[in-house]
Amino acid sequence: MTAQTTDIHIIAKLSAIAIVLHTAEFFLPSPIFGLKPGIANVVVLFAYYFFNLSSAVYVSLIRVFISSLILGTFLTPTFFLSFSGALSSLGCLAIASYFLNKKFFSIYSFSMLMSLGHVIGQFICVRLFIIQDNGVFFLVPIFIIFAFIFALINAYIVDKIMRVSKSQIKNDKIYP
Amino acid sequence: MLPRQLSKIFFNLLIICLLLLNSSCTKQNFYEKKFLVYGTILEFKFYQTPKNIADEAMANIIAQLNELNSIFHPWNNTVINEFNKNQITKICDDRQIQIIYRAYHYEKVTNGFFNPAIGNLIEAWGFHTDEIVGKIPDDALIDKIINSRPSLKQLNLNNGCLEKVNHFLQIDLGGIIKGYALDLAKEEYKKLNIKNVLTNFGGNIYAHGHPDDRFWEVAIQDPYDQTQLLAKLKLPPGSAIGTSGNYEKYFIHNGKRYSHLINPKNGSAFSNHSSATVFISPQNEVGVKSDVFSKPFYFSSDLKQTQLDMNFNNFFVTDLNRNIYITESMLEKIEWIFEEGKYFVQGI
Amino acid sequence: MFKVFKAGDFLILALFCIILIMSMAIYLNLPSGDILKIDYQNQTIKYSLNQNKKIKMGDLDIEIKMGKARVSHSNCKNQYCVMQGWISHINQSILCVPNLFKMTISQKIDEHDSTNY
Repeated sequence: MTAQTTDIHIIAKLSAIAIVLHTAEFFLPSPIFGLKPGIANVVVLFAYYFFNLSSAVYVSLIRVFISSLILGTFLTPTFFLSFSGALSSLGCLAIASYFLNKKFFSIYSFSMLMSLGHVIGQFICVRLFIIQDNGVFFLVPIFIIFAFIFALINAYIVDKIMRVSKSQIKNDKIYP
Repeated sequence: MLPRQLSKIFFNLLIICLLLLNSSCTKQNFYEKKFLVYGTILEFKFYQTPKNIADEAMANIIAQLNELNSIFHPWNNTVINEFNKNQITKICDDRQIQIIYRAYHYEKVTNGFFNPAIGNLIEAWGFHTDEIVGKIPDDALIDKIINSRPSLKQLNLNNGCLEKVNHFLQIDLGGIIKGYALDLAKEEYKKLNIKNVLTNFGGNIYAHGHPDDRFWEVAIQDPYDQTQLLAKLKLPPGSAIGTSGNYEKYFIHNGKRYSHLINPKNGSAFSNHSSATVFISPQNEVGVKSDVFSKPFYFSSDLKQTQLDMNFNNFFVTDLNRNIYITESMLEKIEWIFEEGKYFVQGI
Repeated sequence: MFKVFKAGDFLILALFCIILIMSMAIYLNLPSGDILKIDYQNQTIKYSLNQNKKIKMGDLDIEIKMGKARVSHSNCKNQYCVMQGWISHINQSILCVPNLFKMTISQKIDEHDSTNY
């Protein structure tokens, strides 16, 4: 077994964890219009720091697709919301990883940018395809506030995990 | 290193863009507020006025309006009501007397078409309640009231107090109070040095000053369909516009519409007209005039004659058959915005 | 936790705040609307907001007052429509999905400052 195969195994396991988290979260009630903590993003963020960007992409997209199949929401509006959020979140992560020097931007920045991208992507999706009404934008501020809070929480969690697994870092990216 | 410099530039640009967007997103300095006072919607639209001064003006105006209503409201527990029901026999307050005399002045100017002494009639038709309870009054009752020719003339001033001569006389200032409030607002703006504000009291609008590069623009509601507009016009600073219409407070009986606008000459709540709109050019008591001057034309059976009698040229009247009768002078001021062919516009 | 914060984080933080403030700008200077447009069971009916009126549409009670409108009563399970309270600004809307009901505030044609009625 090459190191690469082991990597793929780990990524697969991470994806599985993400799927479980996403699915469990689906059943949690949300007080406002489907606002959820997005716990699965912890795994995506972790994959990004532990491996690289493309791993994060894999984990996230696998999570979106398989979860929707499990929950029976594939190709429903819920799925497209999830998908658009994930896409734009990853997009932001990609832009961030290209432009931001990790010496100056910690994990909190990346987490915040990811969640910001997620919110923006979801709102664009909602506005264009689900509720064609400008009234949806009334909810943006509250979503942004919660996105911010959950981003910090997620970043904190991943930070802690990364420190524990510091000894197992494969590449020579510096963490923190 | 290039990427680092790039990222710095990128974020700087981003922040600048966002700040620019932010400043262009906030609208020009208009400040709008609405209130409900005794069943009337009050709208204020200030332009380039500091918010605290605007708030102060609005508070003062509403306080004055509340005070007026506490004295003159036609069917609540008020001084006027007690006087009307003969529970008290005199009104001795200087200010109240002054207001009543002003109303009497306009009763004369409008040849009795604005008549603040027919509270009895209005009550007979069921319009002295918060929720409209229309009723068709006895012909005999109406005749009795009309024959007594209620008028504020039938008040005697004795030792600084007003007393009733005619038992049927009941003072109802409903037809002038909105206009009077507009004039109060005008005084308040002058007092607080407010330059530009549009005031709308229950549909009567007074234009104070103007926003920067234009005049205040108002639209006139379609009397047949409250969700549509009939016309629009620009209000020169200091002018006012008022409409009396049968669509605000009314009830329908046997297919006919009876509105709160009671004809003082014959006591009828039914009219062949749907609405009458007057434009008052900048002058004294522009608010009161915008309220009372629409009545003569609403009740008129000969618009041309009324125009001559009142020596007043800026009005139009709509009737039940979608005809609009308008003077040349008024036609110049407005722009029709209804669908082609929906109404028939005719000169007077 | 705070030892991990770096200089650039505050930049992103600032960005977040700016976007938050910008998105809240939507709540300022909202023009009030004049018309209530109700879509109910394939009908569209309009009401002027310049009146005080109570309307019954099937199982819903709608109230218009002082230029605002609300759903005062509904027989739906979640009562989201009633909980939202009054709406008065353009594009604000209230939905009652079980009843296929939607009401929105819209503006009359043209940009005028006020309406005479």
